[in-house]
Amino acid sequence: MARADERLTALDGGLEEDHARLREAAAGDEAAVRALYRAHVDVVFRCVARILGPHDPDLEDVVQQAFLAALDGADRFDGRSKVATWLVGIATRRALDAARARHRRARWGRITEWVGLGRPASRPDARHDALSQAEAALATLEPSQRTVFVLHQVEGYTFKEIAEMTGTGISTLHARLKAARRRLDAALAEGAEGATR
Amino acid sequence: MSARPESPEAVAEVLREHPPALDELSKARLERRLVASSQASSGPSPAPSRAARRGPWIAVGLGLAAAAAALAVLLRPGEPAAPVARFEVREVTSSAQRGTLEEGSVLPTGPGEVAEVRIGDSRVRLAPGGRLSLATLAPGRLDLELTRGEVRVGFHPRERGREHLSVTTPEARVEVVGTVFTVRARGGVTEVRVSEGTVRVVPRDGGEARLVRAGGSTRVASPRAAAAEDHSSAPAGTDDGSPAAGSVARGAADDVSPAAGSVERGAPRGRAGTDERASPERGVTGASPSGPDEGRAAAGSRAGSPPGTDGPSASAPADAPRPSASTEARAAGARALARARRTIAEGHPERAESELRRVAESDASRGARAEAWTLLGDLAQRRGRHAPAAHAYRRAAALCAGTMVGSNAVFALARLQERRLHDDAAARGSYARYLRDAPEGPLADRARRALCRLGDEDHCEPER
Repeated sequence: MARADERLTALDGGLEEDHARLREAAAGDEAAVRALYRAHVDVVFRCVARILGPHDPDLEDVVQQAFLAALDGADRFDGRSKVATWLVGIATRRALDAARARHRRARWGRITEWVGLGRPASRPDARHDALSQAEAALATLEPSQRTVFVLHQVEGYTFKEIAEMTGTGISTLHARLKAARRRLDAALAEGAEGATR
Repeated sequence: MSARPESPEAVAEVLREHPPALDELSKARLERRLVASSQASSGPSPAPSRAARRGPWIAVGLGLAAAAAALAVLLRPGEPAAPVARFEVREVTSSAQRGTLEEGSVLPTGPGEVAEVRIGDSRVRLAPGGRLSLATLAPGRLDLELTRGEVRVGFHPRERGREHLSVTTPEARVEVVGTVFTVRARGGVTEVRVSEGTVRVVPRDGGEARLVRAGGSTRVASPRAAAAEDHSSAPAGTDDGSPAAGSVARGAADDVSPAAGSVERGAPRGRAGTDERASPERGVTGASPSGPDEGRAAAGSRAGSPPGTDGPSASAPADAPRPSASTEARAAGARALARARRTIAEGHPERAESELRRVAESDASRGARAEAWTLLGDLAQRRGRHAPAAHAYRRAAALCAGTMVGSNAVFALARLQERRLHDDAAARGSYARYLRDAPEGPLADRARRALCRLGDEDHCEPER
């Protein structure tokens, strides 16, 4: 698995430049805001989309909120991590909040569906390809499990980085990843059974 | 049909292979929302998330959910509602008037006043001394008439092709697909500068339409103004003939390339010129430089104000042309930059350095400062001072991200990282950044070859 740092190098023109850009953006410099956005929107969107699901209607809102929160809190950026990592951390927390809210709402959704009101929750893509299977399996995870799985297994962040991003202890992260893997195994097995029936 | 993932590792692998990505239109829309929100420091917060809006509904319960569903059915798009044009006219320091405009309304601004009109997601800013009327205000159609002054328009339709906007001046009609641009009508000359997207400019005297892309500009002059220009010999701008940033009305005469044939044919006595040199991201040709140095030279002539960053010019009305302090600072910066370039050309780079440093740290236009940083980077590199050179290129890139000057600085940084600093990872990042900012730019092929050379096989030409 490629290290997150290696990939982020491609996004960072350099630490110093990124820090300067963040400062200028926070000071209201439009060009700096645009530059910051353009440099990091892809990685931020990718993480948010994987945590919330690629078809979530709130994706853009969450991405925007993450950038605005970063601009508001730029003075709290201590420079110990890369701007990209810091931004992904903010976006992750926002996405996690939204995913948890969604998770809670899903319970109400099941009730409203049961009494005949509301629309059923959207189903995974009907295409039986690897991506939709993977997305469907990922969707079975609880938000906190999904977050650690996405950040560690997919994006390649270390547990230390994820702990800083999410404010969660490393041992908790290990436990969540383990639970996530168990649940994924179950979901994949269930999917395989369904396919052979 | 591809293989089903059978383990968590396989799930991760599949997800890595298919990263979710924003399409370009959504990316641009989100960028615009972010910029608008980040600059509205005292205004309301950006559109609240749907999640936040939905929260209270859940608490209210099933009854309200049913009501909401019924409401959603009622509000389903059928007959589109008429758009509302909200305006605000303000002086520099305080808010004065605000309200709504109807079709046919005329909105004038006095000296020192700026008006902003919002219609849906679109935004029009009228500079001081302007006069704008709303000729058509209908669903999917917005026609503005600018009889004098300058407007900066941000038009971002939700669905391309279904919403149309045009700005008509006495000389031309500017038709828009979805973009950010500035129209200035003054003294019988209409100038259109495009920051994002593409606009179509149609001379009103029957000349052929002309497409102007991001970074480009065009002018349409009435016959009288064209004749007056022919006799005018008062260039404004820098010592080396490049126009001073901000002095668009006069300096732009030097900024444009010779008139486009198609426009001249339709307007034999008028004058319309087009400048399509700039935007590296659009890869517009014309005077495309073949290397970073040449690119800088080309960009330098318009190094002044990148149109996307300046907003409406604070220029005075036509009858009282007087440069603002900011315009003077920009012109002084451009002049100093020209002097420094000349000094370098004369073989005295050490003398140019202090001049360049002053420009880089001054209130000169962003483009001039970026170019000054780039030249400082070149000088430092020539002396073997690689770290300061990299720093200077980064400053240039940060100042003018997404423009030709900025992209060339990124390329220069990449080359420095590859050849002098021997930092392949950083060089790969910088070349990739150049390609992201200017995928069709004049140096894009060289950047791709460099990436291939550095081991990124995605950018290697397939073997024949």
